[in-house]
Amino acid sequence: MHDLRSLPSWQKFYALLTYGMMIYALWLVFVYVPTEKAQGIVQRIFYFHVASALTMFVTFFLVFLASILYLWKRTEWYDHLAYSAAELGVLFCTLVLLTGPIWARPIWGTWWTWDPTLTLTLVLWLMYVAYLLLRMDSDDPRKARLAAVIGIVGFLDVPLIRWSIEKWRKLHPEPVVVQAGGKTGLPPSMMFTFLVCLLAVLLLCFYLLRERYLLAKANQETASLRHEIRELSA
Amino acid sequence: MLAMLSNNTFLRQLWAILKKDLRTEWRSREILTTTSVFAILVVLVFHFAIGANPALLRQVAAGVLWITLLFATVLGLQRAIQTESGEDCLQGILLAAQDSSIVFLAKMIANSIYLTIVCLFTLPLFSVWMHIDLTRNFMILLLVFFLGIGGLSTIGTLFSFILVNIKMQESLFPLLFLPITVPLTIAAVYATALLIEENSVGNVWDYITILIVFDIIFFTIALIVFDYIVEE
Amino acid sequence: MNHLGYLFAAYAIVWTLLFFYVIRLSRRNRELHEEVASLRAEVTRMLEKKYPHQS
Repeated sequence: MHDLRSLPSWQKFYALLTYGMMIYALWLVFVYVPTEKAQGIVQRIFYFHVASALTMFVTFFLVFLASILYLWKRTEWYDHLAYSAAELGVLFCTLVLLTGPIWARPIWGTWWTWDPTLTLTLVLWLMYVAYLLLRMDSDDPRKARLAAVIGIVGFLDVPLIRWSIEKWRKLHPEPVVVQAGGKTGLPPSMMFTFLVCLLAVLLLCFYLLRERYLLAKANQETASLRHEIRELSA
Repeated sequence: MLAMLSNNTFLRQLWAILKKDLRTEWRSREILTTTSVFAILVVLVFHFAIGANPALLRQVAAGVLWITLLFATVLGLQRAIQTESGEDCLQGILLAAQDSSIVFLAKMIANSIYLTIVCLFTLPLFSVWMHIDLTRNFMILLLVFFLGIGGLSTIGTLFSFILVNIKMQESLFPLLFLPITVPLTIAAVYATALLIEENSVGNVWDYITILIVFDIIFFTIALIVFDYIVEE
Repeated sequence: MNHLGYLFAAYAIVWTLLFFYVIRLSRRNRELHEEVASLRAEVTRMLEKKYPHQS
């Protein structure tokens, strides 16, 4: 990463803020928040698990927006954003899929429950991994446009996938992993912890997003420089 | 687009491209034979794997049927992509067509026809081997198949165009196609399952709604987005 | 594994994945920076050769 001392002040501030939030979130999760009665300490996984899931949705929505903007405006900026957001999305998706089972196992005895959100996350993981594979593979110049189409189509499918999985689940109900505590309500201490966690994860995500984006830009610059060299030597 | 539909040229060009595709396929019958035989094989293999328990087989019958169709779509469309790749024949057609959506529609209809033919081969065997009465609730079943095949065709054709000149197309196609069609798969399978048994037809309409919404949304998006895929 | 073990496992995984991703990003970033610098130098050199500097 860039040498922290050489960064402009707002970037330094943002990095420190992210770090600070993370530490604060960790303290809240491990020290401050009381242990949940039913599930015991394993429940503390919930905070980062759900925070990651929400962050994942945010990034996939970003892919969607960036894809539309790219098809509309054709500025490289949007394409790099889409690619970076997709990569971050898959990262957090993986985290959700790994922490979910670890949470489920001690409580319900199975590694996997066909929890609607978890199943949706699985399908999304497969979809966006395919997106990344498409990106990584071809040197086709149209790649950016094609990927943008997939970014749009894929995200629009999400509510449909969610809907159909819920109907599917009604056929064989199993324990629900992600208890958002919506209707029963989380006690305020837990809600607060969760929100701080969410903020911390989002901050981290956007920090990484920016780094990844700069990488994509640098990549493009190398390509165009190489192109220029080829032209000059001709 | 409605104005164009009434326009004679639109329909004429659509019919011309469709006829050409169907005629080309009819000469070699490659896609039809491979996918039909493949579909029959899949049903057969499922039968070997689960068939020792006929009660169980009846329960999974709807799932087996639609998995077969999914795989047949993947196989058939991959062949279809390959026939379009290279030689820039695609570009030729696009230049000639009044509107790029004609090309998409023609391909999509052609693919739907292939899938329907595969169904015509597979369903009787299916009915006989698994002792399923398909004539019960026949009209609704027909609707489910119409919507299901339509959806598979729309998504499949769209993705086949996206991947037409990409290196990894064989492996990427199923990777993209299968996750996105999850709603269709779930809805079609459970609608079919409900219709094959005798009771609770009422629930079917939930699944059919999902199918209708899926088809409408993705058909519309495909038409909107198609220009961006094939532009030079 | 008792519950504490599971809790540890979850957070260890989160930490590990994020850590490796950050490492990957920074390494790639550094490599690309160097590459861009050297390519830029190359381009300047070639431009000099083609259109010699009028002093």
